[in-house]
Amino acid sequence: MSSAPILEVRDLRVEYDTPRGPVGAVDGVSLDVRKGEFVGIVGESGCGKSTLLFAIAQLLSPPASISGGSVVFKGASMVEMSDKALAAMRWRDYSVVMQSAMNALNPVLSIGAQFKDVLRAHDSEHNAGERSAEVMRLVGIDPIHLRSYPHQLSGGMRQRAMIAMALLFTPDLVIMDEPTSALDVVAQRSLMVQIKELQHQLGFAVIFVTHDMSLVSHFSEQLLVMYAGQVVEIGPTRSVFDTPAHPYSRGLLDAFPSIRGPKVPLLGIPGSPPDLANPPSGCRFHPRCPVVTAECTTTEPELYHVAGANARCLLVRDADLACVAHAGTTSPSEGSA
Amino acid sequence: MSVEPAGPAPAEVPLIQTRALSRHFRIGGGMRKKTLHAVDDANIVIHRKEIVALAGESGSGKSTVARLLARVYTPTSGDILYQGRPLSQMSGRKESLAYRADVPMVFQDPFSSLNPAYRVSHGIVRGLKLHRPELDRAGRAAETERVVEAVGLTPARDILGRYPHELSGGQRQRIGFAQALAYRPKLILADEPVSMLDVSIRIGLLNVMARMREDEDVSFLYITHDLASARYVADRLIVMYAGNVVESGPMEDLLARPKHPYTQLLLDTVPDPRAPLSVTAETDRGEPPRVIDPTPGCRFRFRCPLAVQECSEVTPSLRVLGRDHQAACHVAVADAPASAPWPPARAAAQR
Repeated sequence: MSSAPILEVRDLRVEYDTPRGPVGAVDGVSLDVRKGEFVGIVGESGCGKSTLLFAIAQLLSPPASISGGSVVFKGASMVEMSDKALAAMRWRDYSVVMQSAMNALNPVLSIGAQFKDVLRAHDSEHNAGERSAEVMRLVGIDPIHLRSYPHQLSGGMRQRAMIAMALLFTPDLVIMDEPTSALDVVAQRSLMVQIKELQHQLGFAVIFVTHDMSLVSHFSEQLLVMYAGQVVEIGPTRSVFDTPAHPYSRGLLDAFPSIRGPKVPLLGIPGSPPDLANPPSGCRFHPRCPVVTAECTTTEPELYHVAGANARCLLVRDADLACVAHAGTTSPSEGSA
Repeated sequence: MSVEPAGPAPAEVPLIQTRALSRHFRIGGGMRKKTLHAVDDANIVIHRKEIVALAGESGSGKSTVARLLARVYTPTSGDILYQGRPLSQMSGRKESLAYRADVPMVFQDPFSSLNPAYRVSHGIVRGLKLHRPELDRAGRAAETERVVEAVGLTPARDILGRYPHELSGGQRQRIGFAQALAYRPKLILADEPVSMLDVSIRIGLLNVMARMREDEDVSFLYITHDLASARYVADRLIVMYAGNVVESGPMEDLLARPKHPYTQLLLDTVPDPRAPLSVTAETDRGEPPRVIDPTPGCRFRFRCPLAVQECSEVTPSLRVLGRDHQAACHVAVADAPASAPWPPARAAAQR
């Protein structure tokens, strides 16, 4: 897994143009995705995680626009690419699975007709019917359902059909925006297992966005925790779960009642995410942070290196000054503030 | 009645009790007329000041149960006893209104259950006018503020003056609970109240439920598919599958010794970030069937790893398998569990 990254995101910034002035929804995010890697992105509603995905996939529409940074996919800079060049890459090199399959699928066309649309748009040499049946079998749906309309399928099957569609051309990267959040636990679990199996089989990389941290715990290799438009922690999934360095990651982890072990009262994370038009001074998490210090309200933290991961917290910097000294140069992100 | 929420005196009349409650729906027309069995023979008991979790997948009939209890649907057969009295004997607007005030519902989607054109105080005040006519204008205002504060929204006056779009999802759902609370309810039917909310704020709502139970003596029917949150807040668990109650019992006992293979399946799908990474070979891709004109037999048998011949011939009925613990399974064994693991890896994860 030490090959060169297929996707390099550097210091990406997205702004929404609002009557109150520009609002930075994504603020200096850097991320590498290697071939076949599963990257999880977690955070609360409004933290910018979906906006980040849309920015990577070049699907932003006004009032949102990329205001800085770069997205390099397989050596090509996507930000500067023309719409025509992007259209050629979509579905073929990367595809996107949206949150709500009911809204993403056309209700008046059969599943098969929608697959055919995609195949034709990319003038495939494939036999449309055969290829459609093939991908349906891949995701465990009887190809007979190609003749079904979206409303005739269950929620889980619709989501599977969306994933089948994303795999029509076996892309290198599949971007998923909360594909399981409309499903119940059993369907959720089986879909996750299936995505992982397909990934093993076909070798594509996945960027998976969710607000449910426990969902990706057993599936992703790299985990990125976002808060208020910024990366607050990034590192190998296991180490983020075992030794969360940022108080926000710890808060997210502690928000889950456990099904086993002792029953303890939980608090969740009190308060709500900040208004991005007017973010708090210093660390953006400080108004909700249980271990806030005086410095947090004034000094904006950077991503500091800690035990294999990077965390945006002054306490991490102070705990480990020596380590930061030589990790600072290798730390992947940190743009101009 | 101030201590032990789970253990009311045995002689006490349950707050609400269903007897062989069934609800069927006609589907198709003409020659293709069929009957969908959404709920079949459900016997559910909820005591005073008790939180009962009703769990199951989409399509298991759990929302239909809530709607039956809320009198949105009338039962096809069976009856509901409220404080010992059958609902079918209830007549007249006055009684009907009183019941609705006693057993309000909180909906799943906080984004579509509040009217966007009115300030959030509107819904609460309207409910108060209808259900508590003894209050005057000032009394209603005071009560509105009290319930909003009771669900943890402060400053109450400021929140009440806002429109739904000015509130976050968690705040809106708290308003949903405040509305229900304003009627001085006995039982709140909460239909997946947190499933649309971020994980980080779900726990806050569950804490609100627990506090409402303590402070206001309200019972809850908490409908969910998330067993971890059910365990956090509820005293008892009822598991439904394809319209049948398949298992019920005290929460901790049921989770420690699940009898029905479906309960085990549900239990194993709960993601636990703290558990060691286990490679799961199991991929249960089944879904609950739509129960149309059913024939005898266990409805779970198609997905069941333990199914035997008997399961496709005889419909299992609930058997007592432990203290206050029942399951509808031919294979399940009474206590001293031969807990046949669902995926074999499960035993390891259970510490």
